[in-house]
Amino acid sequence: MSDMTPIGATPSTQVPRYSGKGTFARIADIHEVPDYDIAVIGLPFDGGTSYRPGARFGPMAVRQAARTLRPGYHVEFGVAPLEQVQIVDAGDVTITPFDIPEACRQIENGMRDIIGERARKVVAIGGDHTVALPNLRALHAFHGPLALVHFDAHLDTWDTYFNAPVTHGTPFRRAFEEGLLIEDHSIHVGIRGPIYDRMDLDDDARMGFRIIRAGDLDVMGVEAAVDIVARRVDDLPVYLSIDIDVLDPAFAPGTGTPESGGLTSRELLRMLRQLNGINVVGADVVEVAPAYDHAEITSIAAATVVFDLLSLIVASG
Amino acid sequence: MAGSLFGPDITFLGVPRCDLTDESSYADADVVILGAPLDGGTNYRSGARFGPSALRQACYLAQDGSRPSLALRVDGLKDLRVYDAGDVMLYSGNIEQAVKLIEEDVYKISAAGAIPIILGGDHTIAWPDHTGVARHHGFGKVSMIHFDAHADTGDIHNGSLVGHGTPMRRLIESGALRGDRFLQLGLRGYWPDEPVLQWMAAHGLRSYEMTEIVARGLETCLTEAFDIATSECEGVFLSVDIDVCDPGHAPGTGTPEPGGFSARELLDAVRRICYELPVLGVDVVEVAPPYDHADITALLGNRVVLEVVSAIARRRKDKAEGTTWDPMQPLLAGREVDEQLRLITEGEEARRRGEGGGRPHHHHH
Repeated sequence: MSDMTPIGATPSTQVPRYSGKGTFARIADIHEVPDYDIAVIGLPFDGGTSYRPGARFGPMAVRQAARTLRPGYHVEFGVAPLEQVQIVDAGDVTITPFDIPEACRQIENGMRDIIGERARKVVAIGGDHTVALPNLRALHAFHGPLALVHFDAHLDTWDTYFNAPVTHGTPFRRAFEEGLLIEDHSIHVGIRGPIYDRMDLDDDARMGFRIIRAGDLDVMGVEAAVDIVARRVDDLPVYLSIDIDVLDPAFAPGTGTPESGGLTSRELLRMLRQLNGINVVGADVVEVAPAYDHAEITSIAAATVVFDLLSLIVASG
Repeated sequence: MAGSLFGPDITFLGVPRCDLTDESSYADADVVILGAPLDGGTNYRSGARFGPSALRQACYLAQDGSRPSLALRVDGLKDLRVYDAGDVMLYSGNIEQAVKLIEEDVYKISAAGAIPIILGGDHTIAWPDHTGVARHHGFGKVSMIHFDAHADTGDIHNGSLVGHGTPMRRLIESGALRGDRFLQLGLRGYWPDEPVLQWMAAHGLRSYEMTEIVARGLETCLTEAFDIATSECEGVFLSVDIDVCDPGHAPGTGTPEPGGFSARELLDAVRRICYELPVLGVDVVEVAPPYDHADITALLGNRVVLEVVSAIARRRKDKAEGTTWDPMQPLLAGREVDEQLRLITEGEEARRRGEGGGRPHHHHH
């Protein structure tokens, strides 16, 4: 942590929330500070989508929706994250829309720069779920293998799509193959809906993932699920990946591959708040596709999740 | 395997399906419609991958493969043999591969003697679309009339030669399209920059910016363009970027630019081109349904396709019968009324006038 008093967010009692700067929740821009502890970073890329595109506008929309936040004090976590550490908005990584492998290199390099030798923590705003792979590669360079906690309607451990190995449906299979994940310490939460093949589940299990399906939450309850996740990751370095489509389409209509029967936003937030204490070194919130959103429903949910992740990191710090 | 990549597996307004892997299924075709659901070439708002499915179904009439045109007095979908080959099974994440797949399918259609109409997809596809046609009819032998707010003659965007801002340069570089047989209409706004404009000038393009079109009149500009387009060429490729229309008429697109054509102007221009010129291929691109409202843009794109098909049908009918289409002719003039209907109608009229009918008069209050 840096020694200087952190620069916080623009005070909402003096500058109305709909005006002023355009960083996430109007926190400090990376250029305003000599150093920082946690960075929010935008990854505007949707070249890996298999159905509805549009997540390239996710970072922009989530930052805009985050204007509605009051980032002074997080009641459930009991922290004032912006007072305790320096959190910055690092802007967007410049990413080509035309070439998935090149985009992944650009994201990995951008993330490495932001993380740096001090192994600063990052919360990335996607972008489609492809971005999780270069994020994991970048984090792996500083932390070694990670435990993955993955909130999503979909497994994202498929093999290829139209022969493309890196897409928004395949990041965690590639991550497993590349040795970026700690075997038997990763878990999917919120999985639901039909799949291409029964084999998909076998493959997923063989790669050492555990699954809490959306419907399982109804039976076991949030507390039991949180307990399973916490024990699964123990005190290992965690990458927390949140595909906004883990939420029911009612709570997150603006996304590329909506799937009925998802979590309520309250369930997701409650889980995150009870995961207080796990060692999150990096996180993402992905698949917000504003063209399919209405009245910022999805981007407000995502902005809230991003602020929760920041607070979780600080509270667990 | 022919079918739709996204959405219901329907054909354009219900025309018969053909399969490009089975030559016999389209050997007798006059027109083959092909979907190219690609938006991996967009550098701003994506979503045109859903263009083909939107264009196929945006209509309030039955999907019955028939659309008699009030103005042209032909049923293009029936008078011509029109098939829908479904979508090219491409992946937007791999544009280099996608353009190859599209070019092969377009070439197949041209080689079978049919006119391909490609439903985009972003404008990247103009490169394989025109190339596929030119491979059959001859490089440099197929001119292009291009409706667009943007010149699409950029060089390299985001490190890529392939993209929706660069197809026209690729076509001219390869020799598929002669720069001095490339007509652009509707350009406006703030792109491209001076170096690109100079490249266009050096290659002899004739680009009609909106201001010139307004000052001289669309009809005058079109007539002038037609002379260039038909000189030393076998025929014309028509490329319609829906953003040539004003965002008020076409909101559902990736890079809208205010101050464009009205829907009426575009439809009339497309009709003239396809009626007066030997059209060898057509694409309709950049319809992005997520940004559309109430199908405004999809409906327009659907009608552009219908105008193409109807005008080609009318052109062929007039050639065969030695007739000429007269745009001044009133809608109901020259229609041969069925004898029985005429007698019934005359009887009704007579009764209304009180002649010879036994029915009571209408009571006036």
